[in-house]
Amino acid sequence: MHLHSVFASLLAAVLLALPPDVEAQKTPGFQGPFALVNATIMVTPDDTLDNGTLVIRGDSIAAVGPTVAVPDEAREIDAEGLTVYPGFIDSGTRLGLEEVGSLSETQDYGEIGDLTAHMDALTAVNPNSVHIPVNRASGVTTALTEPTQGRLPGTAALISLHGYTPEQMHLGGVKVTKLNFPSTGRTDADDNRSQEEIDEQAQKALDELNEIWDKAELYAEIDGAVQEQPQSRRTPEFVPVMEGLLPVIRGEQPLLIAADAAPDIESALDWAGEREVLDQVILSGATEGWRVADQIAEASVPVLAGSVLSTPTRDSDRYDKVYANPGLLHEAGVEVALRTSEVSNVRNLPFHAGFAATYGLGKTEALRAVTTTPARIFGVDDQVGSLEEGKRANLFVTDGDPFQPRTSVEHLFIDGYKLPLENRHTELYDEFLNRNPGLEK
Amino acid sequence: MTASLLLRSRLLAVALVLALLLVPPADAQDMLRADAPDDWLIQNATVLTVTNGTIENGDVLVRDGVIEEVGQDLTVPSGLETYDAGDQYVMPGIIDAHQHIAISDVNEATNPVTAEVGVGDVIDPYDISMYRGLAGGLTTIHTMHGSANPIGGRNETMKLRYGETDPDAFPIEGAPRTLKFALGENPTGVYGERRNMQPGTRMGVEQVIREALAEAERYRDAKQAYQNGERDRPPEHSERMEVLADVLAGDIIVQTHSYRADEILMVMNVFKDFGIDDLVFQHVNEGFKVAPELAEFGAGASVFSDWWAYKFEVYYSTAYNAAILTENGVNTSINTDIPGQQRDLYHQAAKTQRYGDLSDDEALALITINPARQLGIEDRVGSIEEGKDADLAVFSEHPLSIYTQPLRTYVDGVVRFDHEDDPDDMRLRVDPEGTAPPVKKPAHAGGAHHPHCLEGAVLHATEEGLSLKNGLHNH
Amino acid sequence: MTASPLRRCCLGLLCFCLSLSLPPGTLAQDIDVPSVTDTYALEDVRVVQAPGQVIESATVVVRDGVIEAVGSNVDVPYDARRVEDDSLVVYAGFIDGLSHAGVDTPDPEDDQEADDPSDPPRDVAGIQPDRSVTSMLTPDDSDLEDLRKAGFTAAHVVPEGQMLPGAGAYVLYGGDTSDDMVLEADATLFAQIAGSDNFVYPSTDMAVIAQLRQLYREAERRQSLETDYEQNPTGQPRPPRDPAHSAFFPVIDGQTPLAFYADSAVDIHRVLDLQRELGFSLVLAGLKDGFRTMDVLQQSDAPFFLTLDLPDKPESAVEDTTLADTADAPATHYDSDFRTASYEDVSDEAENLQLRHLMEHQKYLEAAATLDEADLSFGFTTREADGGDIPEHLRTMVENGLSEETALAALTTRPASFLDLDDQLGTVEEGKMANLVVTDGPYFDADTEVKRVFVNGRQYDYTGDAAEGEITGDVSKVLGTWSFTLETPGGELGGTLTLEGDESGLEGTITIQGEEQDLESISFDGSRLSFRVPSSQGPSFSVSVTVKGDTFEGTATAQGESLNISGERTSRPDRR
Repeated sequence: MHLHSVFASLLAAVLLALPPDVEAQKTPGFQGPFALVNATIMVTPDDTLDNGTLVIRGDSIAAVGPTVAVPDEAREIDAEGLTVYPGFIDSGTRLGLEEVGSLSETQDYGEIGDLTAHMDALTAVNPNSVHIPVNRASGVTTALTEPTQGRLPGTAALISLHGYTPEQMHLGGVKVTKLNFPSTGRTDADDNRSQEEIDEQAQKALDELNEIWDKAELYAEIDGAVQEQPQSRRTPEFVPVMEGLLPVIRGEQPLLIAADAAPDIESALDWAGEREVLDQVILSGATEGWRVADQIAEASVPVLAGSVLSTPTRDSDRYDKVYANPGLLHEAGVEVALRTSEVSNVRNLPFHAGFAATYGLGKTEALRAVTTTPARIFGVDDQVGSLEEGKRANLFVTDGDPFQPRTSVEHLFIDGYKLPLENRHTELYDEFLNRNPGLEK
Repeated sequence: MTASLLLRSRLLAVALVLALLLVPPADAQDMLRADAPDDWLIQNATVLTVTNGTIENGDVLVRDGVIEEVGQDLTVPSGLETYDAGDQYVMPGIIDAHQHIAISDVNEATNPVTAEVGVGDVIDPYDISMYRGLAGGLTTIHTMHGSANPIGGRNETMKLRYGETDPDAFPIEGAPRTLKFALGENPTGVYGERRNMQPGTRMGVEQVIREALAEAERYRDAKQAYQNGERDRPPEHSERMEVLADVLAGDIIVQTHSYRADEILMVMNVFKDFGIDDLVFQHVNEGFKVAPELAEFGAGASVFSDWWAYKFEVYYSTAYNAAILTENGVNTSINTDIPGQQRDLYHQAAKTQRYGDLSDDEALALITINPARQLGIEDRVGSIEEGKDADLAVFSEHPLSIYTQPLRTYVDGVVRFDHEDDPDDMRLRVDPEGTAPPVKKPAHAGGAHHPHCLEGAVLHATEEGLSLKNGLHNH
Repeated sequence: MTASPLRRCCLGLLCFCLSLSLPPGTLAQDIDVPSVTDTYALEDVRVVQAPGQVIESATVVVRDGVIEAVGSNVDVPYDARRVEDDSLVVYAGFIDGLSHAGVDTPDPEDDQEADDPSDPPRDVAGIQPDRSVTSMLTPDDSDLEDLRKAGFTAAHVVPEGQMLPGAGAYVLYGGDTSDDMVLEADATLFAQIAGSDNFVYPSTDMAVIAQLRQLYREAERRQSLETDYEQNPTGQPRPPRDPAHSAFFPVIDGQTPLAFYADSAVDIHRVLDLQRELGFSLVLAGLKDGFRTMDVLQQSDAPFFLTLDLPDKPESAVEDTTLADTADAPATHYDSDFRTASYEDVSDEAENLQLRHLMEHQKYLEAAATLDEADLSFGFTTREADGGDIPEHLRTMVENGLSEETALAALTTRPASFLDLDDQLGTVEEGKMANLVVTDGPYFDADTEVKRVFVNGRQYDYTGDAAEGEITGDVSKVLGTWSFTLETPGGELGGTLTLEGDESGLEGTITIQGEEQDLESISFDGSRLSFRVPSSQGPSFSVSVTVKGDTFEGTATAQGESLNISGERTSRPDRR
């Protein structure tokens, strides 16, 4: 039987005999240097090191290998029997943008209006959201956090799950512009529209999208022309949504297209081809991606698939089709990362990966889908996703397979900060397991 | 092109075979388990009995849908179907103590007290959700009225005998009746906030319940007086009061949707005053805060594995709830509530090993024998014991492992899910005017979290789904 | 000719055009030729007296609303209007087991927002068992005309509404006044498992079921209090009384059945469960999914009325010709074990699913035969069917295994007996009410048309209606554009006619005064061209002309009114 993480970290504190002010339960994170010794280290999903040492200095991994010297000043953490993993990346969440699901006062992911491409999710990320420490406790260190509402909801941002300002959390400057592609899926059981109505509405939405894009291209053209000769040319009218689309039109920013139904994915790929943005496109959701996996592969568009723990989109589908989707996409040659599409339970990313692994993706590929693959898709593979020298020290240490529910996370580092694993959930456990007073006061 | 040619040749082959056999073709879904055997010997499995430990290399003998013998190296009675479960795990069929599948109505959200209403009157045998549950090892569900009303309707305890089409084939014979109560934000939101009527607060919820129970006492007494000849006429008949009088008499288990510690205590106090003992709290996210009181009362708790923060009353929650309750001696189960989620209860139970270090048996009990006790059906289901119904779930690996896959599910000894043999399309009926099923947006794709939608419906699409359907969101 | 209400005319589109072009007072609708006699003799006709009971070359005499004589040697009365045609077939008028035809249910007041949704006024809750359909009958309802044309002459009609819309009645599908229509008032109490539209209690099916139990059980209590009180009123408080509960007394006594409409399998089960629980006598109509619920239907002794609605055939969504080969016999091509392993199987999956939908569709076409094979005796209900589709739907049921005799019994003798009207209706026998359907051939043949319908001796004449489209002649004789002249009482009216197509079918449009309308049911047999011009405003009109070279002559007819029409071809289609 494994030890509970709280006890384990207590034990670790005693063993390490570090200054009490640093090791108290409620301390904030602190930087090292640290040396994780006697550890099994998953450097990348393909390359695991037995009995190795990993040295963290500042915000980075200073060294990793079987015979790395432990610096004198480093706090040494004996990871005998434990494994070190690169921090997991959740490729689609609303983390920091929502506190309570039923209270719109606490929600900042859906601005009013359909065309809000100029909205910037990073602005509204609450670094002190209760959800952040709860979720990172399972080893998720990085998340894409997204605005959701309308046709063009704004830009999503890649964030580290530690920091006191949005800027401190922002990882690699990554922002992606989100497009909710016109959908032909039914919203719920009460959506009684006929297929004709649905198709008609989707076509209308697509026509509107094309009109927006025409104008955005024109806006970019005018803007470019003015910038060439700012003295002699008139500053154009300021149109915020078009301003928001400039980085995409200019090919400087990825375009995150959310689409789930197979016809919508097909239509999105066609559209992106016509608009010549295909090489910027990242598909998000893609619940029915497996149905058109060949087309996605041919377009070389990466997919952020999920949530995996979900029900099929068609009543005629096999019960496990959504679990199998990432594996089927991968098999067809699509680059797949995973997302939970969550806020409060981003911590379940390892379980989503575990289900994908079980239903066809395989464990190694599932590990990639939450580490190296998303790092590459977001263009931050030089910083995160693996435990190579020079990369950010985003990692966690477990007593077993990180996808297994029974496994405990023992240590967590983000940007070289050793972070407490305590959070609201563990604190309530500590307080109430043996409540005092009990029945009698 | 080539694909359809392939299909064509395969279809031709199928047609040829059928022609040779001269058998009128019928689709598998129609024939679903119609004459399936309910006698089996399952062999060589790791048998997780839940109540009597684990039997390595174990066999389970099933006769007429009942577990006849459990042990090692049982002899194969002649003519009996065997299933070699070597390297596989067999556990009791999973029980979901809170769902809303397989019924066509959920909430009668027009009246704070609707005890006369029952979801058992609107069972829908055609709901594919039942099959999806079976595909997760689920065999029994407690399908419930919604949580709009302080006193809602009667729930139904059913077996997932998917393939049967008579609604009467599903309820478990002799299972105790249960009645839904609901506290907190849902009823105060439906009535106070949206209709400007009581209850608008947790104070109001208490008084609605007390008033209804007090009225039921008077109704019961009036009926008694008439029967004793102390009264000339019977009281005006009330279907509602009949049910509540049965609650007072202890014939009905009350299942209370609840979140906050104070409201949990409130219901226990009310029930003490009315002398009602049979009580199970549903969701009960703050149950961990009053675990000693729950244990003392003897109330059950049916919780979520790790869902929280979907509304304000679950903001101060912990995924350790099930573990704290269990450690404090409260009979605890884990449920899924939301249609669609009924597929992975074994995984939800496994989370209690991360959040509270429960043992394998403790974790499995949360989805088997414990909910069986909460529903009063522990004599029939919830563990692998001789004499119990042969409701069994076969897994490829230990059911608490993330890498496990449900392989086969038996209900009353009949295979109702088979990973190997089942085709993709397991619907019992399709639209005769259509050509394909509609494509549904996955639950995660926007919509559900939009602030203009009925909050609480975020995770509680099920609980308040009907309110939405009935246009409450426009109020 | 009888004083047909149809003579109020309106030649559909024609009427609209005429009204634009002609001075008032000259319209065709003003012509009202008085009726001379109400006695009819149908001579030399084939009489199907009852299913399987046929007299060839017989005469049927109708007088004063009664079948006065039927047989081979019947004298034709001196005052009879004689109809002699050896191609005609006479059937007993059909009986509709449940519908809202001819019922004008008062609209509920708008926005009936109840102050307290838990205890709404009864009418808002849909609890109106004290209403009677007889007060809502409207003899000039166009639904009646559509159903008569299909052969229906009598019916069990019920009010529209929610859970308890009111009492049903047995009526005639014809008459001048609502009183003329009524055969038996308050014959049933209509109920449905349908929640309140106003989001008040009961809003769901389960609450409706609970409310029905409540009303029924409390009515039982009140009825026993009433009985008690009647015997010994002195010293007793008067029992509580209200019409909602009192309406159930005859139901509890077994005198009045509760009539339910239920199409879906779950609704059928719910109704039958409720009946078993409460013990009322039941009339059950709908049963679209009845083939799924055979076991429970077989255990019930309720009269059943099967819907005459059939699902539309699925339209192919798969653009693949291989499907066309398989669609005729989907079951032999359907792979019930189909699994998709990857994207490569997706198009096969779509085809396979489509086959499954076709198979499902087929089950509905066979439903009537399936019920019959299980010895379930049923009549028909038109509630969910369009009158114009009914003959075709009946033919479809026959093509799919229902015997013609059973179908005819389900239209005539069975419902007569179910409604306990078999002493008046259901057969062509002396002394029965003169409810007759006269066709130009066997009713279930594809090209047969209903020519005349008698309701209580009154004739409804459809002889002017056009045949359904059928092309047997060389269409090149009619293709192209024609200009025509219509001789109306108010003067000549010109227009153009365009026809295109081939042997497989003709399409065309008619243009009068700039108004263009598509033609329906275009037939051409080499010389005779006929078509129908539908109208949304009123009855359609039919045109039947003889084509000679590039000219035609003939008549345009609407509801017995005929006008001469002549035309000539102005252009032919281009030849390539």
